[in-house]
Amino acid sequence: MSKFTIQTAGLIRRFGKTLAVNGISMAVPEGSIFALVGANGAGKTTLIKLLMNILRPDAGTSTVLGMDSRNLAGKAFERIGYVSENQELPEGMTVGGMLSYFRDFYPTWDRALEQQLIRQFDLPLERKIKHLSRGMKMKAAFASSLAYRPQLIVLDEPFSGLDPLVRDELIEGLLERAPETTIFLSSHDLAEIESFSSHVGYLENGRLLFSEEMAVLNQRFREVTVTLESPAPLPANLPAAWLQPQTTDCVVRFVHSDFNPQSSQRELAERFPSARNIEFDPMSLRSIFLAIAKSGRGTAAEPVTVSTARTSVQEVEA
Amino acid sequence: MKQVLHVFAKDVRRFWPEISISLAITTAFVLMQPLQWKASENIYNAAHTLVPGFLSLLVPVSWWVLIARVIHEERLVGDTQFWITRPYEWKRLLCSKAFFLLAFLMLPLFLAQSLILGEAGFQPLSFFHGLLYSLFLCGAILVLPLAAFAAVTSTFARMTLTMLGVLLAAIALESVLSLMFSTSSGSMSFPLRDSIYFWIYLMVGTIAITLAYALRKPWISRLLLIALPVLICAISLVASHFDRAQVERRYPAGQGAHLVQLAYSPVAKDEQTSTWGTFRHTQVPISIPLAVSGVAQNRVILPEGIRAEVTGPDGYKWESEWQPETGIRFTPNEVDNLNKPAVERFNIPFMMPIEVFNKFQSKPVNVRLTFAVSEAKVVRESVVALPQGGFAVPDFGICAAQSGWLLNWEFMGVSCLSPLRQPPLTYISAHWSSQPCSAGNSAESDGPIGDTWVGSLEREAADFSISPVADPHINLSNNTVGYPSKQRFLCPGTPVRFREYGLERRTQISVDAPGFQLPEMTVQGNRITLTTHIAHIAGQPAQ
Repeated sequence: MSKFTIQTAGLIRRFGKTLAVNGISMAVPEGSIFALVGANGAGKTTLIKLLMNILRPDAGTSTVLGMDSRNLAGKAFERIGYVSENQELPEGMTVGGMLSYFRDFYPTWDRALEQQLIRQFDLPLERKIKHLSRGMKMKAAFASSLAYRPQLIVLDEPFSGLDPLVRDELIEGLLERAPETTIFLSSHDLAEIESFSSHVGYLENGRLLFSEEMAVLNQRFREVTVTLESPAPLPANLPAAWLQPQTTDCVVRFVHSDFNPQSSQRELAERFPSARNIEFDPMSLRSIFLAIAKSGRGTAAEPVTVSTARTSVQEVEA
Repeated sequence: MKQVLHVFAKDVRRFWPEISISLAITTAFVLMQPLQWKASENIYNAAHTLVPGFLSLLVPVSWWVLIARVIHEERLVGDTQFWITRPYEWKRLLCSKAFFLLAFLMLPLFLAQSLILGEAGFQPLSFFHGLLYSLFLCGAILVLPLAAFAAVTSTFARMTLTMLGVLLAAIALESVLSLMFSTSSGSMSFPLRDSIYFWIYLMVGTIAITLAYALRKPWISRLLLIALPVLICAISLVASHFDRAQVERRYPAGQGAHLVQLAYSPVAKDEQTSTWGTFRHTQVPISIPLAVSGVAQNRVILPEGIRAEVTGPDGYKWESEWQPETGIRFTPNEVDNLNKPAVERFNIPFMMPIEVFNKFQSKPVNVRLTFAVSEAKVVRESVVALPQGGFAVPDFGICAAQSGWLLNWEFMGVSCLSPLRQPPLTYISAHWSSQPCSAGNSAESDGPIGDTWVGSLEREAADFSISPVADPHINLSNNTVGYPSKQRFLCPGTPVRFREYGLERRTQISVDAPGFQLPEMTVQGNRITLTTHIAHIAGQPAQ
């Protein structure tokens, strides 16, 4: 039995001359909340559509819940919940009508959970979907995709354009399902996924720069501030794991992308013997991604095929 | 099956307004259709003719909307539809849509046609097979293409524009082909070939829809639909090379010598001219005057195709392809004591390419005409003394005396209704009365005869039509050439004769026209004028 709910290998999808997805290899562990982040146009939606068999890959393979994603259809979606910001809903139906309609498609539909979600999201059952606000539509879509307790929930930019209240309600509803399911979601807003994601993958220009467990990522990145006795130039041949090094008078700052409490302290002491003080500050996800993005752009980074294992930025930048 | 019914039930709930409108239009069609027959039987009323006609157009239009709505509800084009990431099975989705169309288009049409048949005086159950065939034709010719276009488009507007585009493209293709291959003379129709075209169309349409549902790659289905007219044109072009073989097989030569006597027989007339525009005319119409006699009693010879062999004085020979020949019937001169001449004269036309015509340069040529003919003989004759009300004619339909227009209650003709299709080939005749019957006149057995031919020798179980009742045009005034033009009447009790013909055989007959003088052609601007100088030549016996 695979420990990964989603696995891809060398996935490629072109639109004309544009490589929207460029050889993505990744794995999403079972039970994880995997956030796929990247700027608009990075290829997140295309990757999700490939995984959901909405689009066909030009090359490469992917499996979802152990099935080749190219065969994903019909009954397979009894175990998958998919919500996308672009997805259409049956606009002519009422919310209640839609839930009632979908109910018969899913053998695992949980009426109690449906009622709970209706209450939780305060869904107006009698109103037609076309008359709902965007936030309410997303809530209705969430309810219709969570009520059957899917093994995998795939969300494409689910919180985009929603007000914070609705966003929190949706995240809350989602997290309540988290223990029993794998959640794979895309977002271009790092802050919104930072609080609840267990794994994160970073996509840029169709390439997966890295894919990693959030805790490991947080542990691995530190903003380092070295205060020297006197002003000194940056030493030559700095390790590749030190990103964006810069110096101002007696202070050297950089982002350490392979921080280890023991070895990093020792390494820095060796590199800066005149250091008066060395500080390691934890970084927000946003800061980490900015550092990676700024240092990675313009380099021919190779995709990384690791999710639970640690991935060093040296690999990304190799 | 559960999913099929589930999606079906959803569509019914979702589209009940459209369904109601479609059913209301069908109901109105059922109610109004009889007015059309009554209009032809009695006083002319524009509303009685126009409204049923309008409704018979509105029924397919309502289908168009309903088909577009129900198929686009789970549209196949695009990647943002809600249903593609739900546990929909494409086969079940397709079945549910087919079920919907059967339930709200085909079933109501079946009921409507049954009711209209009943209203016309026919027993619907007696025509169950024909009704099913009529449904099949309506489904294949109307529903299938609408469903196919809906399956490869995302909205009603796109579907409409696509259909218009395809229609224009087909017209353009036909025009280009007719210009390229000079098909203005047309080609003979062969039931086998026509049914092959029909089944190809049916197959491609069905495959396009199935693939659209199975693969959700609309471009494949679009390609198939675009390829269909091209494919049919290509097959048509290829098949045209085998026309001769098909005619030889369908109309075997050598059995027709005794059927009819044909002889070249120019009428003594100094000059005949005809003028027409040059636009798209690459063919010159040539007309050969023939004397026709010797058709056996109770028989009729129907020329269906003609082929000409023309040999010039210099030995240059041209052979035409088989060209269609319609509307001519060689009949025995004894029919109904019509005082027909023993020998009837016909001008038999065929088309000759302009470049061939120019090669002969208006010199006398030897022409050999070969006809592909069907011989039919009387299989049933019904003589009905014209009653005041309706009367049934076996194997033909239900007829009634037809009143005149403008509050003239005298009977001026006969109108008939046939169930589901045109009647069999039938010769109808009756003696006119020259005085109004209300003045105490009765049928005149020696009055002028009004006669007409209706129907066809070859019939399917039903013709393609929304209405299940065919209204063959019966014009009994067509035998009055030379008769003083005045109003004539059909008095009650007048014997009306319905003579039904059945196919006896198909064969070929030939006739020679030696020394035929081709007309002179002059071109002035965009007008072409043909001038025929006719010489007196003795008739030649048929071969």
